[in-house]
Amino acid sequence: MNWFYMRAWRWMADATVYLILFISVSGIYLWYVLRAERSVGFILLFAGALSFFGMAYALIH
Amino acid sequence: MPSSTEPIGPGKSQNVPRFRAQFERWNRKLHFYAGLFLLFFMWLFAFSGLLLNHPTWTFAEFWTNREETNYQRDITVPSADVKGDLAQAHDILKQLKIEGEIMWTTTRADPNQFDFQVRRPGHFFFIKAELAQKRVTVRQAEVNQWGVIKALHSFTGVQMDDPRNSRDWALTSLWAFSMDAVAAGLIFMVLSSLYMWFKLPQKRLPGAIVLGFGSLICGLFCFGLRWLF
Repeated sequence: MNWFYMRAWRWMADATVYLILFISVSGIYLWYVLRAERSVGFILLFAGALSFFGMAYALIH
Repeated sequence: MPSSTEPIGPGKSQNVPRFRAQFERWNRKLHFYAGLFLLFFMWLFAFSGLLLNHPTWTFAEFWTNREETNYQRDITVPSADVKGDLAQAHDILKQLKIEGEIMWTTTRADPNQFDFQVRRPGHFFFIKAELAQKRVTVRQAEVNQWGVIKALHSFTGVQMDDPRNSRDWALTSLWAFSMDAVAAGLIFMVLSSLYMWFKLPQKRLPGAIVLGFGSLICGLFCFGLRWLF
């Protein structure tokens, strides 16, 4: 990789990923401190995990 | 200072129209709900994006660490009723008990020779069917979990530069649909967070500066570079 803008794009892509990971973790914390939203949140988190791992399992195996 | 996570108190909701209060409440709720449902999808695409962005990371190498097996099977030649390459490939795959997305990599010149690939995340099948000999040679490659993660990022079953390759496996369509849903969910989350940010007057100026700066950088890469060079 020898073009400055290409290296900058790569750096931006990395920064975007790290930012997404940070905002998702901070989002989990902000959801968890809201007691009223916990049960619905857990159900949706579980449903999302089931959809994701179910589909990934079906694709891989 | 109020934050987007704090519920609107009863005193404040009396000052705003009921519809707007309900809208704000559900905007915040749905933002949480969409984020929680899409969490694992987002992490997959973020993490696999990082891996794809760093092809030199040796720990995530998958193709050189693949395990290959070769075998031959006798097959029944697809009957005359089975018309077209795709139907014939499906017929052969059914006999071999292989499932996955069919990829066309060669043009069929000899009607007795039929070569194609079948892929699904983690598995590659290179199939050479010799119809006159009623025999199929299969080269099967299995890759590690890094290869699976990278494949899930880009497993769409289509190639922009090759109209011959289209989705022919139901699970590819399901996965592509789920990627669309994740993208739509992320767009919704961005829009809902923009609304929540805009409702906080104290955060408007710093937010606008960050938004403007981010838009400028994004615009530079998406449009500016083509205009500049």
